[in-house]
Amino acid sequence: MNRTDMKDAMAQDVDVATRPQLATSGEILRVRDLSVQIADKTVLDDVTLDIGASERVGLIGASGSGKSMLVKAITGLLPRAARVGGDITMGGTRLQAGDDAAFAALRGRYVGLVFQNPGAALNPVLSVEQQVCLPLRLHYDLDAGERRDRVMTMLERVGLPASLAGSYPHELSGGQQQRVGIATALITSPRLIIADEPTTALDAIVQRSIIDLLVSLVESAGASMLFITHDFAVLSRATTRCMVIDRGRIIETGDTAALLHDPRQPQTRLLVNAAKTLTLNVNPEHHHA
Amino acid sequence: MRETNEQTAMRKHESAEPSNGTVLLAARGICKFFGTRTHRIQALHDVDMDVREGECVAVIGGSGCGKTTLTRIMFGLDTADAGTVRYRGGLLAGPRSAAMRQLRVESGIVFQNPFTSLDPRWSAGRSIAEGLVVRAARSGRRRHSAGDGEAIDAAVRGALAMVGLDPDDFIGRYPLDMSGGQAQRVAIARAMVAQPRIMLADEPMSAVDVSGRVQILDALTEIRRRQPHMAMVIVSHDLGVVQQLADRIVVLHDGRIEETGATGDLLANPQSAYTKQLIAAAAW
Amino acid sequence: MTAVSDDGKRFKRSGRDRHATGNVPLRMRFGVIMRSMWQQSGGRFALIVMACWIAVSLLSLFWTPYPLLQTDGGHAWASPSAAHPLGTDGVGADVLSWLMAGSRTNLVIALLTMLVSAMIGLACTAVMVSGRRALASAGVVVVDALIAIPTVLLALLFAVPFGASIAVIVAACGMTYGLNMARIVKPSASLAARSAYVQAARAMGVSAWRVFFTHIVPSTFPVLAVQLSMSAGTSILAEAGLTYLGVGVPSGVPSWGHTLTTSVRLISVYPLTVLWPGLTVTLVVTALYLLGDAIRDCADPLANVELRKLAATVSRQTHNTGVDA
Repeated sequence: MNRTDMKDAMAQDVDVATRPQLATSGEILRVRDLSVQIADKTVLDDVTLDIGASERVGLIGASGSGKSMLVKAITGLLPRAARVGGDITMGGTRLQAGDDAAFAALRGRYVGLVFQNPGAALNPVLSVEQQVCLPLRLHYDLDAGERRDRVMTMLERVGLPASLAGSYPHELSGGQQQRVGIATALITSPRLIIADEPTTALDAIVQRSIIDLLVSLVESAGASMLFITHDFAVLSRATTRCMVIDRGRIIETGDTAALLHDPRQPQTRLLVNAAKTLTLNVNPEHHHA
Repeated sequence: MRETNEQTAMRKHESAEPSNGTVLLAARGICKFFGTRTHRIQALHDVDMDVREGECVAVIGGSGCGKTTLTRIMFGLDTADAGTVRYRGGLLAGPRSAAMRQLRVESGIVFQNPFTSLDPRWSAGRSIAEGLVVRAARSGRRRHSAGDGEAIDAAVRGALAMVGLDPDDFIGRYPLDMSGGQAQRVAIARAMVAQPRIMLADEPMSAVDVSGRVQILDALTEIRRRQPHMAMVIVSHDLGVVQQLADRIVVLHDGRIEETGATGDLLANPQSAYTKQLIAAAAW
Repeated sequence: MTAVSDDGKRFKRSGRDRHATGNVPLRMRFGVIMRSMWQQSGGRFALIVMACWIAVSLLSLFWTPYPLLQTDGGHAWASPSAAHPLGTDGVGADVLSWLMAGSRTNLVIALLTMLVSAMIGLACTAVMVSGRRALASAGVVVVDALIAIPTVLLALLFAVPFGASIAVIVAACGMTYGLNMARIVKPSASLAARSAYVQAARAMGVSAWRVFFTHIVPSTFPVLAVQLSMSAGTSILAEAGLTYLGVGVPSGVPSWGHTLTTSVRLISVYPLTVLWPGLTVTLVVTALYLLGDAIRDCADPLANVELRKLAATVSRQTHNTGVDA
């Protein structure tokens, strides 16, 4: 089975598994008036957002603004004590808050997650191969040979040599660990990738290569992406559209380049200015010449 | 000014006014190995580095390049397998050596993550005062006079104000009730309160979000302005920050010094391929 | 400085080098801790029982319904009555009087056991988290070996040269609970010992001992609070057991274990007499266990937001009074 065939086969699996209207509607994720309260504290307030097919959307905000809570709400990983209002529709399925089974069926198959700290997000007692294989085992009924083929293809696509398949997370560098994280998220060909600050723990050079890898893989799979970050430099490289979240509310949304160039809300301006202050102020093209 | 009095009071080690360009901290031929006897990895290969009075040196490089190991060795937090470190001419030889004791008193260190480097059960004021209290107790008098308490109080408040935090608001606050930027500035205040000659900031911004980073950058800039004689070593992989703070950059790659030079020159005209790559990645 | 509030004055006096540290005077902190404990049902129960225990112990120093040695042979094993609210025992002595006097002995035993086990436990912890590797691992081995000795065996051994006495109970309990505590406290202590804040303190020249008592011991507070109150509670149970075996409180000295021992001989005939000391022990031990949980939740600034708020407001106010002057 060559690589393209396999991709098609995986996409088919997904389509069969979810509702038929998925293929026709361009909507991957639809959130309406989502509010979340934890212990009388409002962490999300009337959040409305759409992610269309093959769209890469950024979500930016200071720490504590509700970015991670939004991800948890979308993936059904909120704490039990949370009170949730509003609508989440994914792949044509309307999800009820608290319906753990419905969320669990979508996680890892329809939605792939890439976490912030790959060292902590990988299970230390699973080898790379076992780790990447896990979502396949959970959601698909494949025999061992097929699974191994898919894992090896995936490892190759994220740029990990086959010799690392038997290694354990602690034997890998931060960049390699995050490549494993990406492979795990993408192995089931999900329609939506949620990346929660996937490069914060990495240094600039590795950061850049990981972002490029993630974007190219998401693009070639035709999936959509929700990219959470507090780093505008990363944002402009990874996304086309972006939303700014502040104290649980989406305060601004628009084309990434335009928003970075001309932020309208004062909070956004603050964030953009902060990012500009911290960015290296030289033109790299100049040196290569 | 009240603060000047405090300065002279707290800075008992102050001798003559330093002449510019004196080497404070000098590392020569530093080698460091990690791992077991059979599987050894060399983290540092024969590294030389100087830090002069009043300058800010940035040590940059990717993760695993040895920048943290090198600076930890230079500040006596770790030991080298080969090579020497001298502080103001004295050899750092074990925790009891005179030079090491002097370095402990005259240096301030800021760690990467403020939430692990500040005791969560201590209020900001208590954490900042810790070094001063210990020093006051050790200065010979068994009992502290009320004057000591007042001096320490003033010093702690001064340090908090210097990093841009309202002393009244923060002196009794616990790290749990602070943002990352605020907690890291408390940690900087702790490093600054005894008016050190030399300061180490080991990736002070990597655990903090963008707005926190700007607060930390502002605090460090203010410190540079107010304490022009203090030397500062900043370890970072964030070139934007380094550009604004450092006078000189040392590029470390795979445990070797790749390149070193004045900040403007090095960023505008990098010589090695690795440095070019670093700059390209930072400028997006 | 004139017209300073009561709290302000206290702060000034106890202040000195605490001025800047944002520390709160002990009495104010104590007040907040008590209030938070009172707001929990478990904490409230524990506080009430503790208060009764201490009050009865103090009262028994001056007054008991009957003198302890006054016996009434004609009224042995009497049921509760107006004259003897809890009845009398086998020699006709008033059970209530003996229980009241016994609470004093048990209070002393509980306090001493706590003290001894804290000292032994912390000493062992200090060795086990010491910077010298060889010493630390030797410490772990020694603690693990000694932990295997049961309390009763230790008490029997001590009783050989010293005879039955309170000291034997305290020594046996303090030793075994101390070793247990060391083992349980060690993980959080060694986590703190390797933490960046300990590194920061050491880099500033703070001595190893000072770091141990100001950073490492407080970091074990949640475990320590629970373990210490449990050793106090368990010492009461151990006292009853050891006294029954004849190596605990010497005969003639009032204690709950003593009352239990004298009445348990005829438990099938007069079951009610066993009920009172049994109930007392159960009540107090439960209260002590709950007390530990309450202290853990209320006296730790990390767990109790009220304590953190207090620190923030006090430092603000103190400074303002300073400005007024």
